[in-house]
Amino acid sequence: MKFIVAVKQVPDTTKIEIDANGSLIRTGVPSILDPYCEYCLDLVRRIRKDGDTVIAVAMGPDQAKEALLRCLEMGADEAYLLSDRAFAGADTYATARTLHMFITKVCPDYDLIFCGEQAADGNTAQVPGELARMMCVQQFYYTKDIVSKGDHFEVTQDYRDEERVCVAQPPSLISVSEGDINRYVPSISQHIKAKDKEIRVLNRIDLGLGMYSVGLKGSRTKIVSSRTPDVGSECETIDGSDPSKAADRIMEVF
Amino acid sequence: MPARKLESGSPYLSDESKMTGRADMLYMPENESEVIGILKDSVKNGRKITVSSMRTGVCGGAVPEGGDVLGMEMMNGAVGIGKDDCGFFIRVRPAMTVNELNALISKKAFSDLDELTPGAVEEAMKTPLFYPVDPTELNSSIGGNISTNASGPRTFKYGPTRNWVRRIRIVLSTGKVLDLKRGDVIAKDNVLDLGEGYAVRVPSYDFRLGIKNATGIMASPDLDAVDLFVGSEGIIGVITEADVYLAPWHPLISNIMFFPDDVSSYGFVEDLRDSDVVPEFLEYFDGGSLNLIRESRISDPKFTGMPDIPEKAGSAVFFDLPYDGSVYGSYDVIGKIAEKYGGSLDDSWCGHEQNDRQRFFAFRHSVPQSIFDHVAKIKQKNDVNIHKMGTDMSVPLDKLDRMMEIYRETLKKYDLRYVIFGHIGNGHLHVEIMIKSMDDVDRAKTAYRELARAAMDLGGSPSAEHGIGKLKNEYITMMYGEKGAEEIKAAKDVLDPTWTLNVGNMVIR
Amino acid sequence: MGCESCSGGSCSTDGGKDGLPPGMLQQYDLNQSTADGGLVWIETVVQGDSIRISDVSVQLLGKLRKMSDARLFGVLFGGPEVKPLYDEIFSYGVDTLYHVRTRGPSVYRPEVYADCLADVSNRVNPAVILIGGTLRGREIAPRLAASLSTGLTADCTELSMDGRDLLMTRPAFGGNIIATISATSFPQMATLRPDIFPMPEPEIGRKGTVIYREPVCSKQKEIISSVMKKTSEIDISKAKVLISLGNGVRRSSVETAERIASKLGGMVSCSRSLVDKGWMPMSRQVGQSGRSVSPDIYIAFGISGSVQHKAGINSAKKIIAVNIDPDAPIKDVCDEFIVGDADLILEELDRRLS
Repeated sequence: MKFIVAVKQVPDTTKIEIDANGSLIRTGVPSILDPYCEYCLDLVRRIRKDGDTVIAVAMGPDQAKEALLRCLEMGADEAYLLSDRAFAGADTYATARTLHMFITKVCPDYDLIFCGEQAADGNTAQVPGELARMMCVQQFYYTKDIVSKGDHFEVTQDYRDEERVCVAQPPSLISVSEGDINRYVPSISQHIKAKDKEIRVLNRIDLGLGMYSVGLKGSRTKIVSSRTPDVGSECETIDGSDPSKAADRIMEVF
Repeated sequence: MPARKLESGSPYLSDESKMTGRADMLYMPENESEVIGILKDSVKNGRKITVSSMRTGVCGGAVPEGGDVLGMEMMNGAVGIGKDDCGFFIRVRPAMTVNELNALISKKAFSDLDELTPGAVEEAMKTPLFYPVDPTELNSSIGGNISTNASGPRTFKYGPTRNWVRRIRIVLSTGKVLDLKRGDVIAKDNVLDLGEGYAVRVPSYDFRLGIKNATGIMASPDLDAVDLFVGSEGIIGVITEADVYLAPWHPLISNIMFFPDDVSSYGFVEDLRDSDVVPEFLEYFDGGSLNLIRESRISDPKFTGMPDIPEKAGSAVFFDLPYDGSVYGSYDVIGKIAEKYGGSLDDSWCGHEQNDRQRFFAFRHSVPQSIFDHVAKIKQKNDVNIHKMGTDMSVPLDKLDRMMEIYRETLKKYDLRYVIFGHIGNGHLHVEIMIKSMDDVDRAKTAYRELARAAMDLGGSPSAEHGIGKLKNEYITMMYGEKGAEEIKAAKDVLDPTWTLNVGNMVIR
Repeated sequence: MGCESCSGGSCSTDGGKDGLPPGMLQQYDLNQSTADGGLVWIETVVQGDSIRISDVSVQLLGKLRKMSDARLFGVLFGGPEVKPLYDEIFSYGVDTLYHVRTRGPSVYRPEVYADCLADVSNRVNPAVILIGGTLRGREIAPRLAASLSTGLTADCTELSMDGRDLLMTRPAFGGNIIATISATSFPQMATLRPDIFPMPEPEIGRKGTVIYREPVCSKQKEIISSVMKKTSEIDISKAKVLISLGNGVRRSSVETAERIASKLGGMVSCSRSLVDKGWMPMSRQVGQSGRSVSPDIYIAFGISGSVQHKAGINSAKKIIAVNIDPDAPIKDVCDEFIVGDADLILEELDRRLS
C-alpha cells in the first residue's frame, strides 16, 4: 500500500506573543511540525506493513525541510518539498490545488492520503475537504483511530455527539484530529538514517501548474485588512497565597 | 517607597525551604539610593536586614530571623546591552528573573535598552544568543543567582553563574557603593583591597574549585573581588545591578540513551568524558528512577508524554549535543562507547525540534515529580511529618565510582530505599531517600550525615548547588574547620561590621 | 478526469465554473457573475424523539437577513420528520427551501451533503453561501467549496456586506490576529462560529416555497456503527458557570472541581493539556480546536492561557484566573487574576460549599 501524508511546518503558536504595538512577535518563535501531522504519522506507523510506502509532502520554504526530516524519522520513506516563490500567500484552495497536482503527478497510485485536521497556525480545517473533493475521493474527518483490514480500513471518527466506525476503501482521504500524547520518539539511529535520505524539492514548473493556479494569484480569498484583537479588559491582580482569602474573593462573585 | 508591616503568613517570611521566619517591616526600594537609605537607617537603629526577591532558594537564605525585609522586586528588568572582548552582556537590575532574561533574549527586545558600547544593539539583533545558566528554577532572580552562584545541568559545559558575571554593583551596610568589574581588583598577598579601608583577607581554605561547590565564600590566591561577592549568600553586601554575559546560541539535539544496568551507565559516562565529544550536560537516571516513572505511568499512562521506557532498560543517560554537521561524528564515537557497555544507538530517543526537546526535559523532570507524588502519598497514608530527603553532594569525577559504592553500602546498611539521578557529568548526583515511615527518618538523617562526611573526605562538597543558607551551617565547619568559619566571619566583620545583612546565612556569630 | 465517488454531474475538475482558467476572471475583470441572494444549510439536531433546527443555522439566517434583503435559500436534508420545521425555517427569513428528501431520516454523509448543496447552488447561483461552523458544517463546507471552485473562509466571527460583496472576519494565528477577508469568486462562502451571532426573533406566519430534490450521490461509504453520545451533559458551550482546569492542577483536582461546579450549577471544562493527558474528554476542551464558550462566569484554575484558549473564552462575561505564575498570559484577558496555588484554592472552595 502507498500512504501519502500531507504535512505542514507551523510556528509554535503556543509561544507567539504580541508586542506593545499589537503586532506579532515572530522572532524567536520556533517552527515545528504541526502537532496534528505528528498524530497522522503516528497512526500511519501503526497501520503500515513491510513493503508499504509512506510519502511525506509539505508545501513551504526551504526551512520546512526540517519538518520533513522529522517525518522521515517518524517512519516516512520518501519526502517531497513543494517550494516556489509563486506558492507564497496561498489560501486553502490554492494549497489543496497544489497538493492535488503533486499527487496526480508523482503518486497517483496512492491508497490513503492523511492530513492533520487543521494546522495550528490557520485553524481552518479546510485543506483536507478541498483536497478530497479535488481528488474525487471520500473523506474521513475527525479520525481518531484506524485499523487495517487487509484491502480496506476501518476508521473511527469522533463527531463529539456521535462516534462512527466506517469502512474506508482505498483511495480515500483521512483527516486526523486526535492522537496519543505519548507519541513516537525516534532513536538516534533512525535520526541518522533519516538525515541520509534525500528530500526532493519540486517547484511550480515541476508540477505543471500555471501562475494563476498557485499562491496568492490562485487563491479564492484575499485578506483585506488585519488587526489585533481588543483586549481592553482591566485586570486586577490579587495575592492568592492564602487560599482562604482567595476563596472568599471567588465566592463574592457568586 | 512602598513599605508595609509584615503579617504572619506573608510569603516574605518563607521560601522554598518551607522554613518560616519572622520580621517586622517590608521595605521595597525602587533604586540604589533608597537601598542605601534603608541600610544606613537599619545600622543606626540596630535592625537586621534580610534581602529577598523571588524566594526560590531551598536553604532558607531569604527567610528572615527577625529585623526587617528588603524586598528587591521593584528593582527589576534590564537596563542596557553592550559588548566587550568576552562577548555580549546585558545589564540587569537584581530582581530580573532568568525567565524574563531568556524571554528578552529570544524576542530580541534590545532596542529599548541603553547601548553601553556603540553598535551593540544592532549587532546583537543579528546574533543568536542565549543565557547559558539554567538554574532549573527559572523564576529565580539574577540577583539571587549571583548571591548563591546558582548552577544546574548546563554547568557541565558552561560552568556556574560565576563564569557569566562581568560586573556587579554592591551596596555595603555602611552605605558604601562598590562598582566592581571582573579584573579590576585582584587579591594581592591574600588581601583584597577594596579601598577606603575595606581590605578583606582571603580565606586560607581550599575552596575546591575543581568540583561543583556552593559551600562558603570563594577563596583563591588571586581572588577577583567580583568572585568574593558571587556566592556569598548576601552576608557582605546587597547587589543593586549586574552585567551578565550571553553566549552564542546554537541549535541542539536532545538524546536519551538506555543501558542495561546502573554500572553500565557510569562506564559510558566515564568513557564519554575521556572522548572528544562535549555534550551540553550529562544527566543520569538509575534503575530505581526509571522504575519510579514506570510506576507513575501505571496509574497515569500519559504521565511523561513519552513512549514507554524500553523494558530492558536498567538506567539511562540524558544529554544534549550541538546540532550541526559535527553531531554525526559524535554519534559515531558515542555509538562505539555505548556498545562497550551494552547500549546502542538503537536503544535511544532523540529529538531536535524545540517542542520535542521540551518533552525530553519534561521526562527529566518527571523523576523529581514522581518522588514528590510518592512522598505526598506516603505522607497522607502514614504520617504528615514525613518529608522528602535528597542529597546535594558532589565529588571529583575520578571519585564518582567510589562515591556510588558508598551510597549503595551506606543506604543498604541503614535499610533505606533510594533512587539516584542528576548531574553525573559534574560528579553531582541527587540521592533521594524514599522514606516509608517515621521510623526511617532517624536512620535517614544518620545516613545523610555519613554520606556528607564521605563526600568531603573524597574531596567533594556536601552542598554542590543548593548552598548553605540557614539549614546547613554545620557544613562550613565540617568542611573548612573552625578556622575556615572564623575567616568567613572576619570577611563579614570588614564589609558588614554591624552584622546587619542576612544574619544566619552561612555563618553564625 | 472521472470521478468515482459521486455522480450527478456536479463533479468537474476544470478551473472555474465559468469554464475559464483560474485567475482569468480577476485578471481581465470578467467577473460579471449574475450571482445573487444567499444560500444556507439548515442543520438539524435530533434530541431523543424530537428534531430541531441547530442554533447556529438560526443565527446565520438572522445575520444574513439583517445584512441583505436579497433572496434567501435554505437547504434541508431528511425524510417526513423534518416537515414540521418548515414554518419555523420560513419564520427566520428563508424564501425558498430546498428539501432534499430521503425515505427515512437522513443519515449524515459529507460527500452526499456537499454534492446536494453544490447541486442546489448551481441551480440558484447564490452570491453567498453560509454554513454553521459545527463539526459537520466544517467538514462539508470545504468539499462544497472545492466542488464550486470557490473560496471559503473558516470560522468567521464577524460578517458585513457591501452590496452583494461579503466581508468576512476571523481570528488567525491562534487568535493573535483578526483578519478581514474577501472572496475573489462567487459564491462567497464562509463557515460561522456558533453562538457569536444573536438568535433572531422569528416572524411568525411568514411564508415561503418548498422545492423537493432527490439526493444526487451514488457511491456511499459503509457505516459499520454509529453510537450517539449523550449531548446534554457535555455541552459546555451553554454553561452559565464554568470551572476550567489546566496543566497547573493535580489530577485529584478534577474531582474537586466537579463537586464545586455541581454546587454552583456549572460545568467543568479544561484546556488542551488535560485532554492530552487523558484526564478529561475532548468535549470539555475550550479553545480553538475545542470550542468557544460564553458563560457568565469563567474561572480558570492553573491555565496559563495559550492563544487558542484565550480565543475560546473571549465571549465570557467575567473571567477569573488562578495561577501560580504571576505572568501567565491568561492575565491579559481576565478581569481578576489571583496569584496562588490552584489546587489549594479549589480545595478551599470545595470545603466551603460542602
